[in-house]
Amino acid sequence: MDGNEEVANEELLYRRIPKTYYGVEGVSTDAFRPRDDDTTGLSFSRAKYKSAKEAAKSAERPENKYYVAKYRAGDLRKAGMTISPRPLPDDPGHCELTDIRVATKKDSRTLDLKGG
Amino acid sequence: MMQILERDKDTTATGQGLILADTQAADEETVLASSDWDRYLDHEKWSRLINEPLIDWGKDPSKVADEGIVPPSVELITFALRYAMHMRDQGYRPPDRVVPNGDAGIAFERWEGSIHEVLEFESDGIVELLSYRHSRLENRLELSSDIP
Repeated sequence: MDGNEEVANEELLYRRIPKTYYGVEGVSTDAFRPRDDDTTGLSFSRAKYKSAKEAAKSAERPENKYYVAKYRAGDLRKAGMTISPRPLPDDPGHCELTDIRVATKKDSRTLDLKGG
Repeated sequence: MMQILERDKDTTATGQGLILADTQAADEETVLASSDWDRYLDHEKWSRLINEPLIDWGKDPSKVADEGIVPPSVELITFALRYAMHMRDQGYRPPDRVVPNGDAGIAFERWEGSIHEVLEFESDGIVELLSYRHSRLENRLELSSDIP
């Protein structure tokens, strides 16, 4: 396995979330807002390659602490999302939700998917 | 508190004879007082959200920065602050949380049962209200960016 294999429905995926986006009320939709560098999709980590603890570590801000949201790939697909494996040299478990991209960040469909 | 009062009212409505009148009157007074109390609490909550985080962010927007989060400008924070004060003074329900939207904007978020509302202050000056029900986008409405 090199990370190029299709993401199976039963696989678990992690999304690192800054602490500001989580509270007792729920997770902010802005935790899923595509950033400028999300040109091909929103980044997730495949649990088969990385633990939740590892997924919570930010290379950009190692001093900060993060939450990790956990999703089942099949549930994301049921909500209408497309998942593509996008392995990186130092992160073979990297994958993306390709429907949520910076170019479409203000489309109603993207906003709907963020909520789902 | 309101839920308990509502339940008391129901009991009274289906309740018994003479006691009904007195209890009803007492309930009306209590409900009025409760409504004032709710308004006071809402006002306090707005004030808390205005002071922290908005004023706090305004002093140092870099505090907001995090992985993938571009902090809002001082101008936008000031605008959101004035908008919040206006909404508070008009008696709107306060948000549960104020967060950076990640894209140099600010979001006021409120949850009520299955409904999640997000008032987005975008960095380009657009103000938009997004309403989600059961996590699905139900409505989006661009609001005036003029504060009376």
